[in-house]
Amino acid sequence: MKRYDLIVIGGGPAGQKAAVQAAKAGRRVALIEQLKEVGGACVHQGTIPSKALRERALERRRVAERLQALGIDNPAPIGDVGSLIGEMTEVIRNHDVYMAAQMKRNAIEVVHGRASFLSSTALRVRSIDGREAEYCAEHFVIATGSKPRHPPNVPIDHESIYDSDSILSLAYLPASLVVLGGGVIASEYASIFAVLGVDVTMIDRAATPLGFLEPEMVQGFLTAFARHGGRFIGEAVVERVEFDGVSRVLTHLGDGRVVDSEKLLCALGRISQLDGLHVERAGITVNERQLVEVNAFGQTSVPHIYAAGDVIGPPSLASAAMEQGRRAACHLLGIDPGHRGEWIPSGIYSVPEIASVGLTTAQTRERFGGVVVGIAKFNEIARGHIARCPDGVLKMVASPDGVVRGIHIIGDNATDLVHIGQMGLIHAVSAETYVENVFNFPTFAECYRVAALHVTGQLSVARSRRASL
Amino acid sequence: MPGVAAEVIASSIDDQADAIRLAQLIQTDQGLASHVLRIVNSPALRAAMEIVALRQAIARLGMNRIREIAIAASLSNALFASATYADEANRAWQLALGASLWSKEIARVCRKNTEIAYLCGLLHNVGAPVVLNAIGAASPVRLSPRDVAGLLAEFEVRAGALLAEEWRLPSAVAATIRYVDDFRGASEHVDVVAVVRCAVRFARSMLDGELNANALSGFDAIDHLNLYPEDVAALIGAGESIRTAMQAMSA
Repeated sequence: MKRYDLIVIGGGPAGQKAAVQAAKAGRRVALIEQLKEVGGACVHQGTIPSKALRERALERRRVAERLQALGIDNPAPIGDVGSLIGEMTEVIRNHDVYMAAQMKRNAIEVVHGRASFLSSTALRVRSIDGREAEYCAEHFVIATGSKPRHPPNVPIDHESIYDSDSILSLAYLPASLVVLGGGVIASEYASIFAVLGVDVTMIDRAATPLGFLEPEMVQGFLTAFARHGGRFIGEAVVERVEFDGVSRVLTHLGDGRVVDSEKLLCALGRISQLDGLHVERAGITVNERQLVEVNAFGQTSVPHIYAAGDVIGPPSLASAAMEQGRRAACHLLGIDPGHRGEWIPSGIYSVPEIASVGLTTAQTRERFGGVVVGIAKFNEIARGHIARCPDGVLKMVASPDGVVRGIHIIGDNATDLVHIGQMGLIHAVSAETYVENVFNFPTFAECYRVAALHVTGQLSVARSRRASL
Repeated sequence: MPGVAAEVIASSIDDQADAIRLAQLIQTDQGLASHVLRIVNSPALRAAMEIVALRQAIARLGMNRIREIAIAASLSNALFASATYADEANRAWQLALGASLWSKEIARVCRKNTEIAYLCGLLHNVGAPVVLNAIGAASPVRLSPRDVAGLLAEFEVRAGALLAEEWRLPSAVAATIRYVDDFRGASEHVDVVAVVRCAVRFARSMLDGELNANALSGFDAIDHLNLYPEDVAALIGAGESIRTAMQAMSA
């Protein structure tokens, strides 16, 4: 039986960071990964491929728009998804090479196989050729990620009816696509395929997609989606989905409507990936949502076994998973992981991009008894015109004392731009700070100043009113 | 092929059951599938993008148009008929059909494109009927099974590759025909060629009545596709439904 200080199960963002952290502290670490390469769904099915596809789709759309602007009536077709995916494969390969080198550099033993617990201190790994080996360790980190949820009324066959892990196996762009769901994954793919010229219909139980976002962000998404030919059907119950046996997918709704499409993507959430791991043999129980519960340090109910990433549930962000993995490793090593960041930004790689950090308007009002909102539109910023993306909005949410509590952005570069707001939240800066400091010109960051001016202007009026009373 | 032609002609697009049957027919007959792809990608019909899958062709052109194409293709097609070597042709077709169905199942497990895999499985040995037909046309005397096997071994891939080039079959099909016995040699579509290689092994094992884990263990394409023993066992478990589907398609 091989012995290690730490065994990490799963080579996604959480697992990698946990393994690297422990290895850098001089511990003997093994990382067990069932795929041939480390990276997990983040690299091979989700985060990176979909973002790469998005970038390629936008590049091609820009080329087509420029050609049209030059009077070329019939620009080249936007391209088949096979070639787009071919380009993505290169991105993934580069990432694989980078990560493999990182594992090697840190002397982490990567074991290719499927793990299952034998007890709380040992597990068995079955390799692809069927051979089995046993491993034991002082500590474990479970970072096995998640998999798409398959509702019983949606017969996913990965041929006409796809899930979010198989949608990128498409060999050609369908003429039409139904996307079930209104969450992040559904919205990202729906908007990307719409940009690629596919006739996309999103169907969801909720009244709007991305309902957890500020209304301006949701409206901005829906407006852009509609401009690209997309349609959203809200408050809809999907009774059943069926393939007609020839070439069409029929989505039957509760109100009797039938939506006909060439393909369907079911993006109705993800569930933890614990297949075959037998966590119960280690004494770990999962909750009713099949998630592994952990404390603030990432410890499960068995203290020397930690869990991180999607397997413990929301926020299900690669960025958060990395930090969870790192902190879990720090705790088991007895290393101070540092202050736990309260403000985790979220990024939605739809078209347009959406990003958010901190409190919403409603949360700020509830927590501070009032709220002041500043809005900056990209069409008020020189950079917005230069970059030909005037449709973006930055929303600054401040409490009545002028301290900024939340930043919400829709538009180009939103997922990068949000980090300025994140730093501001960490240091509890006021809107005035954004006004009093100089930003590069022309940049999208100017939006912070414009929104802050909007906030400080309202605060000034309010102060004047109070003074005059 | 006359039977296929008759069935295509008799089918009515107004009847959903016929439409389903016709779609299935196009997707299970090597000659018909090749012809449909050739015609839909011909300069006269070619859309903005290449048609790379049969279901895509049906969705793009509609069943009425596909039926017309299928009728024309099946009536004009004598390429795949080999009266002299009917048994050999039937064996090749059984292997193609089995490989197509297994390719789809394996692709599903690996989250590869099932339509492309299916098509590549169906056409991976399309050179075999071409060679058989050529032998039959060249010599009135029936060659020994050993000689036929030798000629197939020598010319099947070359004939298939020529056909793929001449008819401008999708690049994944062309790669599969050329590299199904050496998937790592393919400069593109390596995964789909590996899927078909794997599927051919499954199909052969099934046709030989030896579909079990031992017959498949250690196979290079299984390793390439990262199929664990339990995945292979699950696939073997699908054998009965594939056998049933083959029987239905062969009826």
